Amino acid sequence: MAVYLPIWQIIIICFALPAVGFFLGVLFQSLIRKLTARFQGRRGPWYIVPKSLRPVVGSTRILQPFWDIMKLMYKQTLIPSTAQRKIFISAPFAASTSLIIAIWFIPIIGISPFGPFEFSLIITLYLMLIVPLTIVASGAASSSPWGAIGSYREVILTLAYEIPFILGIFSTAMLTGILTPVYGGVPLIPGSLSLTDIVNFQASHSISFFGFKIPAFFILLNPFAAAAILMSLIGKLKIKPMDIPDAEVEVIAGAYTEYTGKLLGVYEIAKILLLFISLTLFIDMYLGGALVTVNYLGVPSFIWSGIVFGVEIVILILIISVVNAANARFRIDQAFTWYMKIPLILSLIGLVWPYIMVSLAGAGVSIGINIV
Amino acid sequence: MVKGKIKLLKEALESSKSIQTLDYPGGDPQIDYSKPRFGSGAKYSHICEGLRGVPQYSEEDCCGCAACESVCTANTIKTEDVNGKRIFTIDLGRCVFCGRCEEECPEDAIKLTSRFELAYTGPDSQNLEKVKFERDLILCERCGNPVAPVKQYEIYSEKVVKNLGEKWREQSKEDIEKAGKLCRECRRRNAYTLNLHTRKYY
Amino acid sequence: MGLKQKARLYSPWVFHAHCSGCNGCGIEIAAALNPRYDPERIGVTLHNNPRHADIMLVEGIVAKQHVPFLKRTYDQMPTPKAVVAIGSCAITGGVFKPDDDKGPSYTQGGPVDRIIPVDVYVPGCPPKPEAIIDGVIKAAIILSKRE
Ligand code: SF4
Ligand code: SF4
Ligand code: SF4
Repeated sequence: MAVYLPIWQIIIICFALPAVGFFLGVLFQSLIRKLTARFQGRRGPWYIVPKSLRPVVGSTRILQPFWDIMKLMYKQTLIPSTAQRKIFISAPFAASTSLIIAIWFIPIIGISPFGPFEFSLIITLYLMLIVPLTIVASGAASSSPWGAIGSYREVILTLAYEIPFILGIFSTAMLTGILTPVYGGVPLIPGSLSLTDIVNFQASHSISFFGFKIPAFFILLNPFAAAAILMSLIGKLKIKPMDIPDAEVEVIAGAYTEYTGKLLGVYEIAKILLLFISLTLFIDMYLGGALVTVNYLGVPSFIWSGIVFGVEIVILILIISVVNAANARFRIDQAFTWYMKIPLILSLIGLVWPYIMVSLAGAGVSIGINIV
Repeated sequence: MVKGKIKLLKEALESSKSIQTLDYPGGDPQIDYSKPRFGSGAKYSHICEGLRGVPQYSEEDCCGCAACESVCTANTIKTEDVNGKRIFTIDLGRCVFCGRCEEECPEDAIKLTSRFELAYTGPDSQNLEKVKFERDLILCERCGNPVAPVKQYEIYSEKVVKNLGEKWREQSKEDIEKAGKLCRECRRRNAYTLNLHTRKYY
Repeated sequence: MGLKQKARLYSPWVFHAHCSGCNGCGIEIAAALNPRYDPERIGVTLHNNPRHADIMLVEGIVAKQHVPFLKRTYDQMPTPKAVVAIGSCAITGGVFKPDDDKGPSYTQGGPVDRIIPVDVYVPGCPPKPEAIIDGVIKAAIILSKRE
């Protein structure tokens, strides 16, 4: 049931959505920096600059990542004479463009302006996979030894985290199809690959968990896959134990070593969009997409959705920041083995977990979960 | 490994409670020495009482003896005797804040302050502490070479007379009048005729 | 203040060039970047890549063998850029150049401002971390006024 919008609305949405995503991503990045600093016993970017310093350095640094990007945009751009010019210049733009397109398919607080896409999950997956590919290409094209090492590490890390990520995502997508008929719920769509359907499923069902009635968050129905995906996201976002490809003390800046000025700024935009997309994807898939359908206390439901979205984001960012602050960087072989050990096994368990639940329910064993 | 990770997580959560960062570029620069300035109680900055900051010259007290020049580690203080004047040049860019000049100055005219915000933006900058001052010199009565700054001469002739015992006071007054305004070379050369040999004091 | 000036003032990324000093200043720079003084409060982050940096912190007397490398590193930074000379070594030669009459130490390639243009000088041997942060803020202000 596709919704056809007038062309001017489509164009406005095309530009407005990435802008909103970028703004929220900047806020998330700033919060990650602040919280990481807190966990390291520092202050992090000043949110309120002391009065005596305001004439000199401005009044707030909430948008610190934005200022970083703006500064890079006003800098000179150097391109090494030995670099493969075409790939070197186009790679950052390819990364940002693919992420901008990915934002169009992801429902934010349950709103997907272009209507429910049938295969939005697959589209998003592949668009997110373009980013590591461009990083690999740009590192190789920059003709710098550090870039080459960075690309090589990026390849290995991508291989490592992409397998549990995809397995986890598909095991979650299966939940919508498998679980509903067994536990007496209303089947929505058999095994949908549409993010909108996944969000709607979680919003329209609830679980009675040992007598408590809670929304049907997939993180409760399939915690193994959720854990595997969170671990993969840490690799995707280059959070501390997994920031091996651009480890600043080992390989200068990895694939970004030769990037300067505007091109680096475009890469930073891609990083921020990736952060936004990853967190929103996780919320859409496991935390009910932050969708509230009831007007509690007479307040419109979308405001409630916004509040829930904020709370869930803060919790996720808190986890990410603690991990970022408390861990030392892995070696690339350690990271690979770790991904092959823990997240892969978790995601495999997550893949068979729906079937286990089905067979348990078929055998009459109660595990305390009922979908209503 | 799991144990170690849990320990690290605990540490991260604990350190989020006690922020170690000082208030330095913002905050209140008025330092209260009664409050603790180390550990998590530190507020503005690590400014201790013994901090060796930029040397401060008091031109009034300085007698121009150039003792500071002779001990200065990095040749921050330079003197030059030209046309009956001793010109002091102090180039802050060279100072290593060792405090030797403060130690040696007989008049306490040079003191290390606790001021540390010294960054300057160029040779013409306002912040640059390039002190330059002059002292008048006494010229030798016979050959015209510089002897000592006027102020040092006055202070020390007084001090010598005051500190000597009754027995030699008159004698030394006479000596100062006779040979005080002669340069070192002339004094040595004419020591015999002036009857200045130090042995007579013993 | 325009967007350009604001952006430059708000995110000075620094790069530490160690040019044959005694490492005293290097340790103080490291101290200035640690949680105790946390310059990330005002947006300063350390990048060990001159291509990403806006401000170069130079320390040391710059030995003769070091001169071409310092020049090259400076050229690798994209404009606009600023240089902060840290310590009396970098400003004048300090204790390694004891007497002007006898000339500098035979290894000395000259104070930093004879090799590359310096914007801010931070005297001290070594300067306090606070003094370094002060110098970086002054350099950021200079940077924001560049074309
Ligand atoms: S030692 Fe003291 S009195 Fe003598 S010249 Fe130096 S500052 Fe002046
Ligand atoms: S502190 Fe040391 S280096 Fe500085 S002026 Fe005094 S003696 Fe010279
Ligand atoms: S200024 Fe002093 S501390 Fe700094 S490098 Fe030179 S000698 Fe070492």
